[in-house]
Amino acid sequence: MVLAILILIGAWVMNLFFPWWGIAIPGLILGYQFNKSTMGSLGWGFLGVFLLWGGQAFWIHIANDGILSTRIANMLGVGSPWIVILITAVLGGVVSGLATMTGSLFNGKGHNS
Amino acid sequence: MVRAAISLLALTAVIIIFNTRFGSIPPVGKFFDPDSGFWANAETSVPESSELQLEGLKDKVSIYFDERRVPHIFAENEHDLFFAQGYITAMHRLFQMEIQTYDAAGRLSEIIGENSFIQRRDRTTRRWGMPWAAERKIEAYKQDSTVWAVLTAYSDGVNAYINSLDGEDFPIEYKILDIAPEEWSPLRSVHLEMNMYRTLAGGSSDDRTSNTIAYFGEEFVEKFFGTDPALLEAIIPPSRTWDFEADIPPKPDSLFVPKTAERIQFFDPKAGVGSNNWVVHGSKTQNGYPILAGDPHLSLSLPSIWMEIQLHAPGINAYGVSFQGLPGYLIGFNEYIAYTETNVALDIMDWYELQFKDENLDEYWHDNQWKPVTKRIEKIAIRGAEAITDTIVYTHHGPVTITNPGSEEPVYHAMRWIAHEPDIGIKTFYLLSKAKNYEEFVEALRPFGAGAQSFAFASTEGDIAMWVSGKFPKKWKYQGRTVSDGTDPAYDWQGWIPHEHKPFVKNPDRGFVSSANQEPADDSYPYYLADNFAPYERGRRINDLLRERNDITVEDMMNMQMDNYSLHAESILPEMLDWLVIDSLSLQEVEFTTQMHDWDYEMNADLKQPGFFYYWWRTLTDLLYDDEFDAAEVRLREPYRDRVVEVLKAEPEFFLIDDITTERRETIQDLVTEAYSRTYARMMQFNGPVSDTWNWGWVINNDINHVGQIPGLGAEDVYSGGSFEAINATRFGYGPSWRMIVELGPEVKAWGVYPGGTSGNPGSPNYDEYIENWRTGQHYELNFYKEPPAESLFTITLKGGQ
Repeated sequence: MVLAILILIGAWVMNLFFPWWGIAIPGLILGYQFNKSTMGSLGWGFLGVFLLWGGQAFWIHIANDGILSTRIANMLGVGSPWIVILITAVLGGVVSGLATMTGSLFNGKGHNS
Repeated sequence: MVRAAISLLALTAVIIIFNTRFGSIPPVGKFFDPDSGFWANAETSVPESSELQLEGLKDKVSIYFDERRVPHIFAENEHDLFFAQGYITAMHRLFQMEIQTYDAAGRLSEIIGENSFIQRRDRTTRRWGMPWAAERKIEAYKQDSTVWAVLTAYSDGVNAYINSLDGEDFPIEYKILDIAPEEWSPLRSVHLEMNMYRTLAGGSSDDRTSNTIAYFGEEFVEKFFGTDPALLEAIIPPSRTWDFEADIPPKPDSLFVPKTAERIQFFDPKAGVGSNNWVVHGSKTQNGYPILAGDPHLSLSLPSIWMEIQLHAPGINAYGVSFQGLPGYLIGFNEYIAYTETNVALDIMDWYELQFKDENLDEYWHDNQWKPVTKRIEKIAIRGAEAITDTIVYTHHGPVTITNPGSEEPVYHAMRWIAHEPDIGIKTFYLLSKAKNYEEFVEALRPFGAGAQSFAFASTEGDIAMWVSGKFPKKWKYQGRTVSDGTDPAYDWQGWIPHEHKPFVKNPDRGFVSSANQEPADDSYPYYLADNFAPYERGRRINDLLRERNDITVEDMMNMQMDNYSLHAESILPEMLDWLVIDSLSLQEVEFTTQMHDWDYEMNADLKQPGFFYYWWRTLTDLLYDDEFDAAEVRLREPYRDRVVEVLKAEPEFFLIDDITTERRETIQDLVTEAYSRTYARMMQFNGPVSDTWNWGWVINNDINHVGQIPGLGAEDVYSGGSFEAINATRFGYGPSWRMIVELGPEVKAWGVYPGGTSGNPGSPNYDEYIENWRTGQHYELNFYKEPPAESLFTITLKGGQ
């Protein structure tokens, strides 16, 4: 859980200064440092940015009265703005999860434990 | 380590995929990023007041946004005024400016990529000489230091805004298309001007008229296009007499017979373009002041084509609706005068059949000699693909278009178009924004070239007027209504009708002026303008209502703009119901006829009859012409509905009534009954059994689409009344794009509404804020400030930097 929270904070900071793919950097570094199992790294890494991007999208959705998320939902043909928020969260999560897993694998702990 | 490498590879691949655009799908990682993707465009609070340093400004400019976010610019000089206008317009409508200039320059492929429809559009835009003409106009603008200064200040302002943007600040459409804003220039403004002319003056039926004469004969064409409907009232009332000698060029002995051309022009005339305007003299109003009203009918879009803006600087205080990318405004008022335009379908686009010496197309025959052409190479860049080039041949008429390319007998046509003239139309609008009286109004119209318009005018001095204005070629009767002979100088345009000879009227006895795209002047007017204009109904209805009224108020004018009465239905529905053979109908069909009998011809949203009538009439005309028109195999000109109504009533045996694909001879009763049953079946199919789903408000299918046709960014099914032939010309996503009323008392007061909002950001509540008021006819009172307002929603202050 600590790993997910640190990734969340790290990705939030990175996102301010780097293009969107900056969210992979905390996963790579912290995944290496924490050196958790492959699946554990993937999961915590995913969760960290899933919560960050999902939370940011959720907050914007509420503050904007859902105007834009509803339009984007119509544009994408996905029916509901909640799906748009979910897509956002998953996209961020996937990148961070993969990054965190990669980090842990580079620390040599290439087996499940 | 191998697993680590594979994992890294997977991560890299995912990042690359998420950062890449596939087809029309934006790069998803970039697009969904809450910090700089589309989420960043969601407006989460009302903008706050801000102060900015901008290079290029001479002095301080304050822009006050009122409660509806209409910008009111207060500047210390005209340079800063137009600079700030460019800045503010870009801030609100940058993508709209961008996409429309790409379109007008034939460059859409550059941002869209490979797409055959888009590529054909780009190619045709260039074949029409649009970029060429824009370059010609730019040279003319440079010669006029006043208007050139306005254009460059505006352009600098747009660029000041663009340069302040980072990727995350780009309007959402840029993120969807994954493009960046392009630098602005006066040339791009002129491209937009060309786009306007394509919309307003891009129609021509020369090929179809020639074909129709060949197929049905002169008499048919005269009957439907050369004859005025009995109820038509020309724009200029008959009280006006023409006290000048008209210099009309001589007509050739016999009319040129062209080769039958499949199809010359590529853009069909826009059926939705039209407008109303009228002005009532103070003698007919309750307050004793003139009242001016106008509503231009165009394709409705989001962001709206218009944006309200107030421009204030020493020597100018004006308010109007601007066209995004052009300085100033196109319709509006100042402290002294108000004006509003309607389009005039003058014949200002002609096609000339050419004879070339050989396939190299280097020389063409004209005036008994071979004349050299010039050639211009157009390079169309395509996103993600090789650019294509097109060599366009220019004769003295204009650019050449090939019909039937690749066939044994290609036919070459040159296009002569008013929009090619190196006129400086933007100057007219600049001068109008500063005009103080009737004389200055008339002078301001002088530089106006393309896209003939009827300008309705009123002043605080009490004058009212209507000027049908623009540059009109002198023509012999019917010159250019058919395909012209490109070898004979008698078919060339031969000079221009003098400004003073244009159809206009000032303070007519009847106490009002009006126009609704109908014929500008009756047969006593000596010059030939075109053979046919818009149907009479809207113009007649306006005149009927204004004639019978006195003590007119602003509220009366608002109600009139929302008038849904259909003179067309009044003129033909009783006959259609008479002709209906009840015995041939089903019980349900008969039942609905009672509703049709009870209808008062109001095209109101909540009624079922308007939709039924609309499709009944349309099906009837399909049954009338489709058999003959399909058999012709070339494109023919469809008779205007108001003449068809008259002919059907007067000649029940008219030859078009018979269905030539059957043995028997059909009667009008047969057609009307068949059309009725088909309409009933259609309504059942699309709208279900008779219920509220038959309401015109739904049948009218009023979608206000996004300007770049991006799904989800428009407004669908805006429930409303209106019709082609009603003053409220709303229907099928076309209609009154701006409704304005101005009362010219000692204090000029105005009201208006358009279906959109100042903000062009789909993530802002202001984007479509006015649609509900527009739909229900609730005009806003406009804030026309003389002094900087004490209160505003927010203020942007611009200061000159170094």
